[in-house]
Amino acid sequence: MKSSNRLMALSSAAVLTVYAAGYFRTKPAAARFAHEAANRRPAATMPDFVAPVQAAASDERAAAPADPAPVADRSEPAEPTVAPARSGPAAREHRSADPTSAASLDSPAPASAPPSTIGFALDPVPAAPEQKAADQKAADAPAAAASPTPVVQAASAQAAPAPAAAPAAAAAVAYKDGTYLGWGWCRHGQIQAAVVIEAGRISSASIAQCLTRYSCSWIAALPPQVARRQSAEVDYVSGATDSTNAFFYAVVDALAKAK
Amino acid sequence: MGTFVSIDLVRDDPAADQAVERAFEWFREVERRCTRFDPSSELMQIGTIPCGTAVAVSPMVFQAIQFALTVAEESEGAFDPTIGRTMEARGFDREHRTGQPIRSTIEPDPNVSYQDVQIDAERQTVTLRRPLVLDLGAVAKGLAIDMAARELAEVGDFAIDAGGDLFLGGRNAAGQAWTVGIRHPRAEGVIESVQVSNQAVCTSGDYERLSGDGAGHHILDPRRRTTAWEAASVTVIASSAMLADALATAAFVLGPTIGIPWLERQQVEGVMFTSDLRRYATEGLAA
Repeated sequence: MKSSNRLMALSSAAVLTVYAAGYFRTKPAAARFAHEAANRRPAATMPDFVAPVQAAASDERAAAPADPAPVADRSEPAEPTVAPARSGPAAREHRSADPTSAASLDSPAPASAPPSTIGFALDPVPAAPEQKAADQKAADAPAAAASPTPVVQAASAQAAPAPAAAPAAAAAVAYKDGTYLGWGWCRHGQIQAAVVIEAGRISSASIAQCLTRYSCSWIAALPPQVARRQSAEVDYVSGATDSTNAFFYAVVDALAKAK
Repeated sequence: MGTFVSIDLVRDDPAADQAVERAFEWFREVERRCTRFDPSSELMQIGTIPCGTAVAVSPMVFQAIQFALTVAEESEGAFDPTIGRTMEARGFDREHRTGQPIRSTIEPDPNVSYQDVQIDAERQTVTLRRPLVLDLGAVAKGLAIDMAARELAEVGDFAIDAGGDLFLGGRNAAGQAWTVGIRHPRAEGVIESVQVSNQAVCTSGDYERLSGDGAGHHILDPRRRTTAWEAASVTVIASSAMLADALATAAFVLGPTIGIPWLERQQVEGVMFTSDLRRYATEGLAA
C-alpha cells in the first residue's frame, strides 16, 4: 500500500480546491437570506436562573404535546445573574433541513418527487411538519446571552473552564423541586422526558413517552447522563441522532419549567 | 444515510446565520452535481458521453471522483466507487438481471472496477473505459460535510449531522470535547462513546436501514462480489468527513485483521466490532 499521508493530504486539498472554486448560486444570496430571516422564529431568551421560588410542580402538559408559545425577541436576552450549568445546551440552536420529498445522495428518490434538493426550501412554501417542529424546537430552547458561561457545579462531572466573562460567583443552579415533563420533536416523532428535581438539583431524568417511529431503546443510555451531568447535554449518538435530539429538547423543555 | 441534515450551533449567534446558510447551500450544490438519481446531474451526464472520451468536469466532481479512486487504490479495491450500491440494489451477488434499463442508465458490465475509470488532473477530465455508474454517495456526502465545516470554521463550536455522518467543531456547550455515542451493532443502545473535537465521525454498519423501511443492507466486498461478513460496524474518526466515510467503508470490507492496521497506516482512528462483538481498534482508541 502507498504512502500513508496520501489520502489525508488529498482530502484536504480537495476541500480547499472545491471551496476556492465556489459555485454559481441560482438565486441572489441577499434575497435568500432576507427570506430566511423573515421566516425564522426568534429564539427564546435565556431564563434567569436565580434562587428557587416556592411553587408547585407543573404537570400541566402531561397529557399532550405542548403547543410552543410565541417566544420573546432574540434581540433582548435577559442577562442571567447566575449562569446556569446548562446554559450551553439551552443556547444550542438547532437548524435542520428535512426535505421529505427530496432525493438523497444514497437512496433513490420516489418516482413522483420534485427535483432533488437538500436543505431549506428556497421558495416560500409551507415548511414540512418536521421542519416546523425543528423551528419550534429551536425557538423553544432558551437562547444563551451573547457569551454563555457554564457554571461549575461541585457535584458535576463536567467541570467546564469558566471564560473570562463568567460571573465571579459560580453559584449552583437551583431548580424548583418537582417533576417536570417536556416534549421534544424529531423527524421520527416525539419524545416526552420527565425530569425530577430534588433539593434544587436534577435527581433523575427518564423517557416518559416514546412516540417515535423507532424504539427509544437506542437512546436508553442517555437519560442517566442527565442527572450525572446535571444537564440536558447528552451530545450525540451516532446512528440515532434524531432521537437524541428529540430527547435533548424534551429535557430542555422540562428544565425550562423548573426555573 | 438519508437526507436529513442538521447543523447545531452551541451559541445563538446572529453573525453565524450567513455561514450556516452557506453551509446548507454546499449540501444542495453537492447533491445537484453528484447525485446518481437525477439523470441531469453532472455525474450522470458523464455516462451520456461515449466510453473512451475524456469528459471535462467541474472541480467538485473531479475532486470527488479523484478521491474515491485514490481510496480504491489505497485499499486495493476494498472500496470501489464503480461497484457498491449498484450491485446491492440489483442483487448482483445473487442474480444478474439483464435488459432492464433503470432511468436510462446503462446496465453496468459485471467485470467493471475502479480501474476502468481514468482521470487527468491537468485537464480535469474523467474517462470511462467501460459503461459504468460512478457511485459517489459516501464521498460526496463527506465532501459536503467538509465544505459546511469549512464555512463554520469561524463559528468554532458546532455540530453537523448528515444522516449519521458527523463533524464536530470545537467544543460542546459545557466547553468540552463532543461526546459521540456509537450505536451498538447488534443490540439497542450505545456500545461505546468517543470524545472528539474538530473531527469527523463516520460509521459503516451492516445494520443500516434503507429508506426507513427497516430492511438492513449488506456491504459488499467489491473484489469478491460477496457480502463482507467479518465486521458488523466500523467507526472512523478523522480530520475530514470525506476521509472518515470512505475509510470506514473500506475498513469494513477489509475486516479486523487487515482493516485496523490499514486505518493505522492512514493515520486515522477507528474502532471495529465484529459480528460476535469483539472489538478491534487503532491505538488511539485502544481499550
